[in-house]
Amino acid sequence: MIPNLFNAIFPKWKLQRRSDYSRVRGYIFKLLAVVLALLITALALKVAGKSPLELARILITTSFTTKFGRTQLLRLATPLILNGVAMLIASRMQLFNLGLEGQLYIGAFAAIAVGLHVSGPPALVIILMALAAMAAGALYALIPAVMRIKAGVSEILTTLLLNPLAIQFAAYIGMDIWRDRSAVGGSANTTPSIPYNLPTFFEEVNFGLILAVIIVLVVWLVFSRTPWGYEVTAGGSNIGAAKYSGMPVIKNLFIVMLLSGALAGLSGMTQLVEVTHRFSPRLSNNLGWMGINVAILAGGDTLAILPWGIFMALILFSGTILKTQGILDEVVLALTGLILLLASIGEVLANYRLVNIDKLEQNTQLENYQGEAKNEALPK
Amino acid sequence: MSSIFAGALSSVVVAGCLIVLAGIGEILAERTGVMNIGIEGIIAMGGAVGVLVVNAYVPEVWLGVLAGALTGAILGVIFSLAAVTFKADQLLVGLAFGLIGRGLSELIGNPVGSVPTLDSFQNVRIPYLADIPVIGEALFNNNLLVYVGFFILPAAAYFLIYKTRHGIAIRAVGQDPAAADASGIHVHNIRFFYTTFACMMFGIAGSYLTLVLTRSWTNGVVAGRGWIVLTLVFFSRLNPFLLIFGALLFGGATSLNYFGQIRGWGVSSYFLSMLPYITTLLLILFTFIKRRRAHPETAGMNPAYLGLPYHRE
Repeated sequence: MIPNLFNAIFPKWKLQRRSDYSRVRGYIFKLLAVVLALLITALALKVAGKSPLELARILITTSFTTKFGRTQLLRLATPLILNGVAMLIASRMQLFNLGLEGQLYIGAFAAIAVGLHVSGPPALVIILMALAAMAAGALYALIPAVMRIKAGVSEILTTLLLNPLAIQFAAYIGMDIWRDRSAVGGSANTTPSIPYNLPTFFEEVNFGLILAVIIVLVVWLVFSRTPWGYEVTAGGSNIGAAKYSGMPVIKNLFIVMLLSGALAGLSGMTQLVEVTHRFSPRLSNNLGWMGINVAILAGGDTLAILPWGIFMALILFSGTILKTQGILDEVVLALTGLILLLASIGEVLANYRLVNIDKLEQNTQLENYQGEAKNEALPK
Repeated sequence: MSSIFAGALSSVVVAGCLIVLAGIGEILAERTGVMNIGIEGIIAMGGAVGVLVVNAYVPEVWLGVLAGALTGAILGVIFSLAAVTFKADQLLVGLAFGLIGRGLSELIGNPVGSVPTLDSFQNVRIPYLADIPVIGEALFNNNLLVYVGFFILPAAAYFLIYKTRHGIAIRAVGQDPAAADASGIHVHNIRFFYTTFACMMFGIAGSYLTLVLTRSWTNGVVAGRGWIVLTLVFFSRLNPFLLIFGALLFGGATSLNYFGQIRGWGVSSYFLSMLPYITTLLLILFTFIKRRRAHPETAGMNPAYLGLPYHRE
């Protein structure tokens, strides 16, 4: 009987935990995982008869040298960064808010409700929309928070379940209750569009992105410079110890989850006002999930959310490019999954090393020998 | 009236069967301490491949289910390699499989999407039992997978977990892998096998979804059923028979939609589509509140090492 399948495949090798932790090694392995995932996808595209190099060239030139590309890229990056921060805030307390997608939809729903039914000066309506979206996202995140704290139901289960519920709700609102009955064709299955727009700077940088960057900086400051940020981090690393030392752990769990939901809701509002202008179950297209990817790739490092957010936006934007080349953009969803899979393995491998069993035995023999010698040297 | 009731009960059973098929796999995997939150993606893959095989290659429904099972098993081996052998974070691997599965399945299912499947299961009528009034028609005049899902699988899983020596090994691996290892149980192999088996069951559930339940592939056809499986498995406390109860409840909430449309209740079908999720959430909320009152310390009744890798140091 084989004791371990790993040993059956690699009989001479063993995974051994490294005694030291290195941040740089973590970054390197994550980058390696991303590169490997891209290579596998390139290989798959090559097998399917496309030229991956040509596609990469089109992607890079379109997204960096054309105004359309840059605008699209930054607009895509906005919800990714916001959701990435939302995920990261919750994970500071060891909460896995996997319900960002749902909170995003509910936030967008609150925004469209205000946008369609409140009339006033545009600036005021937009501010109201943002506030409503944040409140709605936070309220939707309150459900898993209450169920976790009051009844002990894991937030992973409830948040996962609340995602399809929110999307069904979006279908109910967009395709039935507030459906645009005057429209025909493509927009027949959505709400009417809202006449509001957020300002753009330098003709390319959207307002939402600036807001997202400011939020990232504020969150970074709060977690690295304030007592409350320290309290949250301490509560996440050891709940018992934090409670014992008098920190309001339960209150912080609530606050963190509500903040997380509020940011996801806000990303729904920016997506609605800057990109779609209409509310439908196709509003987000997995942006919440991609935000989780961003946070995991950033690995607890708040400022790293920004570059990884832009990177993930580039990956999503490649879907648009692939579509023009006659390839389904679903391949992008699989690619992001592959990146996540390899990154999770890379995270382990960064803390482990493969050692040759023969050498390991020599080492342990040597240690045993030294140990015995030490024992003999001790005075009797 | 009784025929309407029998029809409704039949749709409850058919809709709930998917939950049992996938849930039994997940129960066994969680018993060994591996939690798979990528069920959604693997169900989608099984469904897409099942329809692809039946509609594009061989119009034979069993081959579709077999292909779904094989797809699930292949994905399961990759999942186990990552989460069990390499000890990567099970949540992250599960999330990754959710994304990979949803992306790839839409790619695979696209050429055969939105057309009815060429073959489906015939109902097999069990003599005498099917003549039982009210419930007979629903339970004993159905397709073979319903019998497997509601009668054979849960009984087999219950027997395996509670009545065999191997079942003790399975439970020990989830409860205390170090002690199990010390007593000579192959922790890694048991986890690897049951995680792969679970994924195979998700593949079967996926092909059941597209070949029996919806009878076609459309993008997003799984619609959160994978996560409902995960929640109901949690509700069942990893007991196969409690899972059946959860599955029937889910099936009931789902079939309200068909029922409402047939009878013309005037309630939007989009609204009724939200009911299964709300029902599942309320179910798990109430059972947890009740359980927490009874056992304040151990609210979750899961294996102690659920979700944690085992390092043999």
